[in-house]
Amino acid sequence: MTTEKNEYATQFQDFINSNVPDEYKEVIQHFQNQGLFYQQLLKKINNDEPGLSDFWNLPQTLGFNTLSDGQLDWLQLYFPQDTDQEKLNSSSLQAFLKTLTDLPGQLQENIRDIQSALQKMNHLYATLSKSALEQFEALKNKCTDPSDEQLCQFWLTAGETAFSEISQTPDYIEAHQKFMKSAHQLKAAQFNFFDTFAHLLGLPSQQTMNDLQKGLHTLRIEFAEYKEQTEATIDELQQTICRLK
Amino acid sequence: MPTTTQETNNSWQKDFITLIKQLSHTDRQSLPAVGSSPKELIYKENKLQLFHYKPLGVKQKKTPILLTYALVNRPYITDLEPKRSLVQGLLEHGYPVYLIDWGYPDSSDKLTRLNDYINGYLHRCVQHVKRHAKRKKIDLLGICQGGVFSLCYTALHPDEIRKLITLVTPVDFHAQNGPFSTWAADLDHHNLLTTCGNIPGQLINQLFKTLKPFQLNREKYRQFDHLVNKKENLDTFLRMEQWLNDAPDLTGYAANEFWVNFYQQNYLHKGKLEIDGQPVKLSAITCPVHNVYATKDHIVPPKSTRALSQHIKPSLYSECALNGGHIGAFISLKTQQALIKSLHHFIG
Repeated sequence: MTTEKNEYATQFQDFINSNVPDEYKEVIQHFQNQGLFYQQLLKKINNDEPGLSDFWNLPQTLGFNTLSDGQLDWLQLYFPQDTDQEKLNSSSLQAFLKTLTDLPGQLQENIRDIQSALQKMNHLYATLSKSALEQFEALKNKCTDPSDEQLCQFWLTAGETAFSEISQTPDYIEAHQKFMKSAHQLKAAQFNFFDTFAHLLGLPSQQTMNDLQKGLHTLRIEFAEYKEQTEATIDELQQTICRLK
Repeated sequence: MPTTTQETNNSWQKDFITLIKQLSHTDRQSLPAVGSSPKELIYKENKLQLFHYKPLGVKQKKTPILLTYALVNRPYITDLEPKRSLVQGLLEHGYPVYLIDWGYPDSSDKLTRLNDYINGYLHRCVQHVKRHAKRKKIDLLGICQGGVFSLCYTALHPDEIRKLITLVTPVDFHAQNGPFSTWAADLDHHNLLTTCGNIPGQLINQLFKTLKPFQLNREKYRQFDHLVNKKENLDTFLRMEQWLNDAPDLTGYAANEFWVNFYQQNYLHKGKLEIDGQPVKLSAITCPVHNVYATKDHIVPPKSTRALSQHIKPSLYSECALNGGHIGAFISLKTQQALIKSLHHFIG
């Protein structure tokens, strides 16, 4: 068994260090992460250890850090850099948020709103985990000596059922809406913040950039429409020439 | 007899090592090809590309079909691999097939509106297909959000379309109190519109994964003996992973208009939708409409898509149920034959 374990670990590390496409490495990492997750889940169930409800932690299931040790994962999705595909990394966002928190009034209020929404969601996720655990226990108790496969199915059913119930409750909907509203308000504040600095540095404001983009957008459309009209006219003329021949 | 955890772990490790070996094989130095049916680019505008697929050696039909996919994810799902290809299925029956690829919008596209997509890009693609195929009307096949665009387009330009097919297309966005419409219900759209840049594709992906969080984020990676036992299955899995992770950003204004007008206000179904000041009434559609839905669709529930029957004259309306999910409806080996048969019967 030890040899097998070593072989598994060595092969995994060699694979990650090899020059296979990154997409394959991602796939293997996914399988490895989930494999470890299910191994721990089954160990916890079979040994009757406490803390089983953690296995229905929704943010972790969705691939985010837990809210307690990193709320930034959520925010990163809402604040991508607009100019290219590169996403903000935690340190640059943290630096930005630090600057924001140094500013008085509205901005701090926006951040407080987001934190409050996240706390509310955190509480709801704990309720979800608790409800899932209860449903899991009920399913497990109905079955004598369930197999690992059955236990995994019970875990899934319990999680999905608990989620579909809680995601339709007014509290959950309200918490989500509050989070999205405050994220958008923060984004609006972010625009104002950039504009203030742009003005200080003599750079074009967001409004100026928007006007330029609008102009470019209109020109693109006008050009495409003229091109279409021209091609349609040429096509009609060609058909007329063919008929006349 | 129940399996012990030790046996489960050993079996998992064995499969895991086999999977590593298979992915390390020299045959797999590049990802399996997607969207590989031969095609030519016939029109390009900004990021949009319009393709015409090379016909196969079968008798050709006259009326071309234009495929319109959603802005979310990439249209090569219609030609994922030779055996799972809606495009191939249509080509084999002699239909001239065209496909719109909306491309990857960047920040310079953030002001693109639904009007630009429907009365602009889509309209010009229809004109190009008509000229290319030398036909006065074409058939339009819209999938998911592409189906919504196709419905709006056909309602606004009824003379351009001979027959319309909608595939897994939402019409009543409030049909089953889905999470998107309930979460959208109370959001201030003025606030959204003033702050919107593009919406990151990664965020949209997360929203979709949230619909079935434990299934889509954990369960699907739990067992993989079916992948290591058959190369074909592993290829399909890798192609699907590639497609799922390939999510373009959504242009800010269009995404917000879609969120507000469809998910929040349900204007299309209520008959109150306006595009560029023009009312979009589904009852204005005068061509035959074939509505294909998936019975196990968790993204667009059957009730949402079947609401179309309330707007189209019964003599023009037909529908077909496929036993599958939102994507499985047109890529599953089981449903694909039924889908092609149904389309062939409708289009003629």
